[in-house]
Amino acid sequence: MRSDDRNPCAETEARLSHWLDDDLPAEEAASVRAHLTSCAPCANLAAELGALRDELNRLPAAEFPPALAERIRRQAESERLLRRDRRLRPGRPVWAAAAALILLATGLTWRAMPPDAAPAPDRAQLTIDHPLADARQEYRYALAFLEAQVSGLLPLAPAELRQPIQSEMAQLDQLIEDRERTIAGGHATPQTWETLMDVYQCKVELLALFLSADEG
Amino acid sequence: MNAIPALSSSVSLVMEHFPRPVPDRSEDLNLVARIVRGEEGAFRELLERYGRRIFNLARRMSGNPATAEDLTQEVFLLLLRKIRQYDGRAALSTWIYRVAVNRIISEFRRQPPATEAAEGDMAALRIASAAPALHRRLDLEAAIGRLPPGYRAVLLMHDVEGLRHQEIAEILDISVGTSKSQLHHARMQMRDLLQGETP
Repeated sequence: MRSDDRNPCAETEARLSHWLDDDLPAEEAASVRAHLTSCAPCANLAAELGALRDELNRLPAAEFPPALAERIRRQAESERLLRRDRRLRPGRPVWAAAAALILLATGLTWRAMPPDAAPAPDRAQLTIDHPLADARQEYRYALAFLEAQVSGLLPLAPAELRQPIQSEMAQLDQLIEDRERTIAGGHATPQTWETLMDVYQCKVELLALFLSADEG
Repeated sequence: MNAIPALSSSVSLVMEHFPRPVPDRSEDLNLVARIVRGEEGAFRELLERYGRRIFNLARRMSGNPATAEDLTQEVFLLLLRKIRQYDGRAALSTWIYRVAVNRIISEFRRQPPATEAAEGDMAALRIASAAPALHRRLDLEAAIGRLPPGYRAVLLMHDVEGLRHQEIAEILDISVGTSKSQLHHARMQMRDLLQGETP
C-alpha cells in the first residue's frame, strides 16, 4: 500500500468522511476515488463508513413523552418562568376585544405620563452603558419585527379599529421621538429613560395585541 | 409600509442604529416575542417544534430515558430563563441547540454517562427481541453512548439529526473544520466499537 514517502492509505482515510459527504473539492475527490479503485482495504473502509452513516441517518427518533410536556410546564409556572395563557378567547368579537384591550393597555398608561421637561443634563445618561440601553435595544428589535408584521395587516383592519390604532401609534412615536431626542441631546434624566421604556412597552403591547387579535 | 409612514421611520431608525444583516427570522422572533409575553400557547409551540429533537439528543447522549427526561426539562427551563437573550442573529433552532448541547455536554463532562447500566439495558432488550434490525439498532445506540461527549454530540447532530457542519460549528462554537474532523473520528470510533475493538 506504500510506494513512496507518502502514505496514500492514511491520506485517504483522513478524507473518507468528507468524500462520503460530498464535501471535498473535485480534485481531491477524484484522488480519493482513484485510490479506492486500487486499494481493497480502503475501499472496504469506505463502504463500512458509508453504511454506518446511512444506518445512523435512519435511526428512529423516540416520541416526546406526553407527560414530560406537562411536567415542564408545571415546573416553569412554579418558577414563574411561564405565565397563564392570556390569549383572547375564541368566539368573541375579536376586533372589538382588541380595541378594548388596546385602549386599556396604552391609553391609561401613556396619557398619564408627564411631559419630558428636559431639566439639567445628566451626562451619565448619554452613554450606551446606561442600565436601560440593552432594554431599549431589545424593544427596538421587537418593534422592528412587530411593525413589519402589523404594516401588512393594518390596512385590512376595519376603519373603526385602524384609525384609532394609527392615531395611538403616531402619538406613541411622538413620545418616543421626544425622549430619544432628549437623550441624544444629553438632557436625559433617569425619568426620561424610564418613561421611554414605558412608551416602548406600550407600543409593543399595542402591536402585539393587534397581532394576537388578528391570530384569533 | 407606505400606509404607516411613522412605522417606516421607526424601522429605519432601528436599521440605522443597528446596521447588521437581518435574515428572515420573523417566525423565530414572533415565537420568542409570544413566549416573552407569556403566552402558554407559544411555549407549547416551542415544545412541539424542538421537544422531540432535544429529548432524543439527551436520550442518546445519556443512554437513559429517565436522565433524558430530566435533562430535557432542565434545558427547557434554561431556555425560558434565557429566552430574552435571543436576538435573531442566529436561527432560533441553532440558538436552542446551542443552549441544549452545552447543558447536556456539561452534564457528562462533570459525570460520565453510566454506560454499564445502559449496556445492561441494551443486553436485556437484545434477549427480549430476536429481530436482527433491532439488535443492530441497539448496538448502534450502545456504541454512540461510548463515544466521548464531544464526538457523540457532533455525530448525533450531523448523522442522526441531519444538521450541517456550519450549524454544528455555531452550536458548539468550534470551526467548521473541527466539526468535520470530529465527525470523521467519531465515525471511525463507532466502526471500531461495533467491531468489538476498544478505540
